[in-house]
Amino acid sequence: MGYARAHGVALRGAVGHLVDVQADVSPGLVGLTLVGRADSVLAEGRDRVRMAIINSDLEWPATKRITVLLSPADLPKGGSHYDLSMALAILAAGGELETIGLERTVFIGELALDGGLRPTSGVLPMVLAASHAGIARVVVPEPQVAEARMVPGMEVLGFRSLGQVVAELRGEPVPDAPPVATGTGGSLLGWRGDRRLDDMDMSDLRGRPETRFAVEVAAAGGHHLLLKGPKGCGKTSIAERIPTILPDLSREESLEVMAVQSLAGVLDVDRGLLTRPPFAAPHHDASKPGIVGGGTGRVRPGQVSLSHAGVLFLDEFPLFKSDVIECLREPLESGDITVSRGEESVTLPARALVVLAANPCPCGNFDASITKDGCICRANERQSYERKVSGPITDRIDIIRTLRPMSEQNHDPWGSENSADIRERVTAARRRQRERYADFGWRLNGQASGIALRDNWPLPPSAEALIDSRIFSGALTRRGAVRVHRLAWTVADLAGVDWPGVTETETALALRNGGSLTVSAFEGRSA
Amino acid sequence: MSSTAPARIALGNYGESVAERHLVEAGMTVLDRNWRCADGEIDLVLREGDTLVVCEVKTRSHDGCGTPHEAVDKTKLDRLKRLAIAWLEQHDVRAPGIRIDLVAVMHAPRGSALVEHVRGL
Repeated sequence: MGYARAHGVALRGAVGHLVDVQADVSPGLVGLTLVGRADSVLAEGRDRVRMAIINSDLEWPATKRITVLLSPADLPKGGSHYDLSMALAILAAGGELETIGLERTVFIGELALDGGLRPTSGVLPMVLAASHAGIARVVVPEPQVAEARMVPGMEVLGFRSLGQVVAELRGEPVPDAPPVATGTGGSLLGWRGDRRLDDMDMSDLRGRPETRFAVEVAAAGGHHLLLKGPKGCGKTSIAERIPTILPDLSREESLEVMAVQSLAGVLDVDRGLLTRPPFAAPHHDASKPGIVGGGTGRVRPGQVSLSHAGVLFLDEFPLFKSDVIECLREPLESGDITVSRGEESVTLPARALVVLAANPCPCGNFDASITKDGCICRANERQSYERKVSGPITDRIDIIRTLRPMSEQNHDPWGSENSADIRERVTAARRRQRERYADFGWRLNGQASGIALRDNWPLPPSAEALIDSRIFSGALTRRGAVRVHRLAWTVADLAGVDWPGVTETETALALRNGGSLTVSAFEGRSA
Repeated sequence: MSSTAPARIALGNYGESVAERHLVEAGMTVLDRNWRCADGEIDLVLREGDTLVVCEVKTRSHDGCGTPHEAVDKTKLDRLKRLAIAWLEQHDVRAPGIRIDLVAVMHAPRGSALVEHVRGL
């Protein structure tokens, strides 16, 4: 009779907090009081826990007043994964269970009325949070053992029922229990849309050396990219292949991506640790919560977070709703996204390489260089479309390229280089950046702070003069100049040049302003 | 329910006498029993030191309908509090402390009944 506690984890976005689940069992008005800002799903746990304990042939303190506190009391908590920790705390407080073994262990799982331990979403970020809090052992539902084991250094125990967990804690032989359904039925069809990109390669594309170079720079330095051009000129084909030239995910990145997938309930543990960067291409009809995250109840990550450490491709981006486009400003700059609803504010990682594609006009056929271009748009339609392209988002884009329809002039044997070779150069360039910025909080040129760059890695005076002349002529803004500075470093990193000079700066200016790239830019990178 | 009304009343009376004996043995003084007013009934009114104790007695012959404890809920507790005040007003008694107690009597077919006294609901 008395007091006991067990540990659970609260999730707010991808940030976890260790929660003390405290139970007190004492004489008084019979019933279970739950305090500590629980949402309705969690509060319903009162009945799940009670029936699970009774149906597991364990002693429910039916003649006592039970108080359960989820501490810290002011942190909002939701979800059914507290059931197991509540049940164990109540059993220990009621004298059914020793408190030994409850310390230094986190318990995660939803209880069924028969005492079965059901899987819940978000196990990976919960176990990560437990690991950060110094916990070395977790108990999870059996189907989620593989997911929890991805966290290094964590002892993971998987069980099928409350009875099994109690037997383990008492040091008794663990009884058999029927397996618990995982809840996910797998794909209904043989079609595997998510594997479609696996076979793609840059060598599928012919020609377009300038665009290929621009894409390589974008991948190497983490620079956001805007591809403009009439429909059918290959914008989508190029964007879809950008993940193929990105290096493998680091273990840290891999866990970040999988934690986001776990929160969204789309983590496929059967595929093991993720190695390849994700790719997301939401349709322009997508809602704001779908892109940046949100929804009712628990905040679900949006596409910007699901493509973290990978590529987010927004095809025909001027057709996206303006509020969706506005929301992208934050992740483009900071690499994370904060979703605020009421008093709840949730931050999720969102460091994707953003690739935007835009047609020259709503119908996609406009071409200023030819008179009979087949465009059926009115001039004012074209203007409002262009205004959306040149809005505040494009101001946060580093590289702007205009693609021309294929012709004899831009057909080129460069097209045959495959993704693996490009990826090698990208990986090498990224390594240089990581070493250079080891003492700072960023990994890539695209994330570098403009001030720190100017103080520690300035461009030579001749290159600065070149940039200044563009600013004075009105062709470049101050913000644009910082982007050119970053790009110049990436061009140098790709070429293996120790410090960017006038050549690299000229290339960077061309990449930034959509100008044509000179042949020397391509020769530089193969050096 | 299979039991008849007289049988239920008999069980209730039995439980109340068992409870009263238990509380007196524990050192409490009985002031009133089965006191009624328009709002309801108090099973036992007792005194323990300076404290006035209003006691509800619940008797069960089996636990098929839940424990005796579970029969007392928030509504019942609120009514007992109102009744306690009504009793004090009627008897013109002033008590420094008032407490609502529960005595649960589990009547076993063989052997003596199991009595549990819950102090301060």
